[in-house]
Amino acid sequence: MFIDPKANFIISPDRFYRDVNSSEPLHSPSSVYNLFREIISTIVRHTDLDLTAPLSTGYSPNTKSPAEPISRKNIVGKIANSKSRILLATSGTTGAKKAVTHSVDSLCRGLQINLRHQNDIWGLAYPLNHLGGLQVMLQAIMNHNTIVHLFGLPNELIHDSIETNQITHLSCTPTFLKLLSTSNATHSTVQSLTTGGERLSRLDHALSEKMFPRARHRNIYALTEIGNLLISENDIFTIPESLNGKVKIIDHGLSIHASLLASKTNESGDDWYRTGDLVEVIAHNPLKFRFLTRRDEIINVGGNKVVPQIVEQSLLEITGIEQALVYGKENSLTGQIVACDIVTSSNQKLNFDEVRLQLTEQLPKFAVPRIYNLVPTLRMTTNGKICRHPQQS
Amino acid sequence: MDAQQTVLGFINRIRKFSNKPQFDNISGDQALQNDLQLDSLDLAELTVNLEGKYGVDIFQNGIVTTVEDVLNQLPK
Repeated sequence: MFIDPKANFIISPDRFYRDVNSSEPLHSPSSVYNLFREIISTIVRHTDLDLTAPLSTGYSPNTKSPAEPISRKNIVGKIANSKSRILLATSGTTGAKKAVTHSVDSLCRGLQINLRHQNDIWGLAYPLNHLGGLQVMLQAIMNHNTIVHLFGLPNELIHDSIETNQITHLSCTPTFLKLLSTSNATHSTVQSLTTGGERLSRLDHALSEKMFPRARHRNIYALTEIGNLLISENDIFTIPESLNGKVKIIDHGLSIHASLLASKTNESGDDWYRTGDLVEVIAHNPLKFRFLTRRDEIINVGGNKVVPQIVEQSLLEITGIEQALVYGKENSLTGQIVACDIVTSSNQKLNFDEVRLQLTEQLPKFAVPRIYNLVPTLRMTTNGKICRHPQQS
Repeated sequence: MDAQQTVLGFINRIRKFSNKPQFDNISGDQALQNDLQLDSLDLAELTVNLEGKYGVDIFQNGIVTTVEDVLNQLPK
């Protein structure tokens, strides 16, 4: 549990689970609705919020008297003028989880709120207590849109729901996309697909084009500590002029100027916040780069550095492999040795010797996994990303 | 299968992925690196395989040079 005297609202993975009514399945519509209402109630500091009131059709982001009962009719103005501070827990991909305090303004940075979006229908593919879910929620509410809950549902239900509800906008992790792509369903109603939270591979991009043929695909780089920062059409990010001097590469890692942080505290001791994300620089002026991995995910095999995502991409190109997680296993001789967990497509039998021989032709010897585990599923974090740390829950 | 046959099986499996010919047998005095042509990565894999089967890290007590050194680390 995180305690911040300045914050009047705490969202953390613990909170989500604790608040779920034990008689209901996790992520059931009513538990999500209750959490949704609780979040909005706290942001607007109003406890008798009735979200079941008819949806307002007009745009009236005006401040109302605090005494006036609040409903969906005037909720946009209430949120826009809220001075609430929101404490978010990072997912802990860098190790220990951290708490970051946001204002409503910092959460809304990068959101598009205008009449062009008044008919959007959003699919919520993140839990509400994470940055991605909150931003989808705010983007949808501020534009008076319908939100359809998808996170945590079985694939068939998600596909059905996208069609039935005519979802036009979807924001999700590449992992959510991969899991959804196990069927051949395509959805032409989806006009906009936003991915974030994980490295986007070429394969992910191809999957999205196949499943959502009419969607514009944007890839977002966001941090709980900052909010949305960078947007690209593919896996290469270009630093826009507005961020000149505020983003730089230090020791192959992406660093962000402390002035962009939601909480003005920085552990590095200087003005640069080390994100822990390692990048491959494509060009210097303007700065263009591609994300490789997180610094603590690099596998060190006897001094040779292995980027697990590159090995995973080679594995995923092999027929029959649906998901792959590559990681380092401690070894007394070489420090670490490359291991992988593999999920195969249904009805596909896989010969690991053949897989290894194929990889031997593509990768340096030290990068070829020596340990292969067939697993039914990969573990996921609470916000729908592949859990890359064995100790992470 | 005795321990020596198990070690032989693991070594042949490792050599297979390096396109090296298979051994019919091995002897205790053969050096893992010089005679059996296992490099450090191969030895790391052998360690993992043996640990999986016997629950023992053969390098935990120091340097292991020959097949006999390996066998001496395994439970009798």
